[in-house]
Amino acid sequence: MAQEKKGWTYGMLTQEDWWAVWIGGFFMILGLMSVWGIDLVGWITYPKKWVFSMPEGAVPKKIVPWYKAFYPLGAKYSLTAKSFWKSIGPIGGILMTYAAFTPPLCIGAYFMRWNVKRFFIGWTIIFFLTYLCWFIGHHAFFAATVVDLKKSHFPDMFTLSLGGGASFILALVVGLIIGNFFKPLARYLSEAAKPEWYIKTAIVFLGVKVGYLPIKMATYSQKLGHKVAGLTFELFLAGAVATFVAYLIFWPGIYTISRRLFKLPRKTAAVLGSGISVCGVSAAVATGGAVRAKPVVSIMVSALVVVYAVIELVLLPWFFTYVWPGTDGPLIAGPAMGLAVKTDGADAAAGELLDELMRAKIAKETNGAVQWPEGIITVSAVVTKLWIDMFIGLWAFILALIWCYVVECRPGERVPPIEVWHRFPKFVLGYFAAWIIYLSIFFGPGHAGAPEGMAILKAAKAGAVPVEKGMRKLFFMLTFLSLGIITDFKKLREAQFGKMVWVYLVGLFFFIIPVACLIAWLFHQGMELPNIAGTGLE
Amino acid sequence: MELATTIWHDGKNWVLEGDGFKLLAPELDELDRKVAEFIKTDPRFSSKNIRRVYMHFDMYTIPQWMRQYMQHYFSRIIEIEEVK
Repeated sequence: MAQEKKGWTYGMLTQEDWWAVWIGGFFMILGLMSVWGIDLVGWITYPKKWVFSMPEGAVPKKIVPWYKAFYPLGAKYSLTAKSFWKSIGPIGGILMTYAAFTPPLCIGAYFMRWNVKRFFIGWTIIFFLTYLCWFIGHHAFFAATVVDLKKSHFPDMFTLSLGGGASFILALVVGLIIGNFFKPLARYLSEAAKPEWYIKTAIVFLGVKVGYLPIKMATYSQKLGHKVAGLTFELFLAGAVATFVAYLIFWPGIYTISRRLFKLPRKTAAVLGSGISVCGVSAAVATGGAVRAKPVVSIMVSALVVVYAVIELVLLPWFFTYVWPGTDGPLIAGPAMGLAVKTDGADAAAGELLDELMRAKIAKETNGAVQWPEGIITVSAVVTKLWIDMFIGLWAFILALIWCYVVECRPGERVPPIEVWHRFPKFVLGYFAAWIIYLSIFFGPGHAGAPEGMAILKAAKAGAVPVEKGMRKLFFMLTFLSLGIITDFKKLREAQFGKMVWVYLVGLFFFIIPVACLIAWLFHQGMELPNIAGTGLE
Repeated sequence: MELATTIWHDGKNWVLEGDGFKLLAPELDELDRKVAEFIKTDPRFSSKNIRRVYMHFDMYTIPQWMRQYMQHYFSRIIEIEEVK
């Protein structure tokens, strides 16, 4: 077995966190080339809402006939190669998208020492299945909102108004069916069903989105651009404070419930406390390591975390949209999601679903008079989770010190401080880099949206949209499908978990979620999304 | 001098592997005592004045599906003189 000392560069070529940064960064740089007039990302192919046949008098604007259900984003947004991207058509676009992502992902799989052949086949199946779900989920019956119907001159008709959320739900359901009823296939696909890798890459793309949002708004009004830049920064700060407070309440609460109510052993209670209250699998593994628990404890807790996170993903977006806080508090619901859902994949996916449901609901409630920009609710859910992720390393280090020097004092044992860095979620670096780069373009050569900077902002937009919209959504879709594939509900029935299943259930639904809602409300009340109805930015 | 080793868990025991040796113990305290004794008595190591043992955790102990969530369990260092 290899012996190596872990320096700060450890894992740069072998860990998914780093590969999310490399792949996210690579495509972000390709997108940035648009600033110099080179379009290298227009191939990413994106769905539209569709129907089998257009009603009389309808115009194919927001809703199109089925054979136009996909289009390369460059065909709409490119400044230099629009006609070329139009010429490749939907099928050509999907194939180009597949061809563009397959080599870098396979290279990543190779360096992470996975079975590349199995990854390649699994990835191919998951990719095309994802596009199929994207297609079906965008049928107008599932996805079209009242605004879409109006803009396409459709007659009044009943639709579920789920927006892009329908595709996410469908992808999750298809994944869960495979994961629970076609287990040999699920096992085979598991080599490529990597929700955490996909979501971490999507979060790097989300960094482009956060940085690009002010650019997008500034193309309508400079004031709106400033407002959104301020709002994203406000969410970033509020997320940090909310997370800090949550840490102080969640962990001791769950630890006490586990010890006093369920009489679990100290180490198990600590690992479970972190798993339920802090950040799911990452925290369970980190805490297991910090308190030197046998790996099986972390493994058992992690299996529970994954299953419960998917249950939350199914329930919470609907609860927050239709029960509390509803459209009165979209920026309370997002952070509450971030504090309550315990894996990055499930949280970001739930945030994205919430974003779709909330925007569709407000459009319906106001008959299109109020429309919110896409993505800010997702950002509010993700940014809280990023803070949680960043704190894990510190929290695990503190626990390791407490365990090493107080609880189980072993002579001679030391905790290397570099453990904090090893546990740092590296993909966050990609997220911040993307955010800062696009924000720098906005405030630098873009002159914060002033007329003299508009040319460069429009050029940046042409490369940013395919990344923040097309690639991000594709990787979200891949996450939903993969989450379903690796989620086996039978795990909850396995006897050896015993009490832990109940601790998790009680802790999550009667302590974590209510407290998360309260903290999110305390720190995010009063924050408002800008109304972009009638601006042309919808 | 520091000795680099790899630590993992086989389901029952903590296993420490180094250059040509392998030590097992159900608890870390016992493992620490074993490694301290081994280093002091084994002729290959006793003359090298080894004071610290760096234990790098082998992530292959953790199931593959779980590694995507967190790829680091722990690494630890023990100071040999203090281990009785």
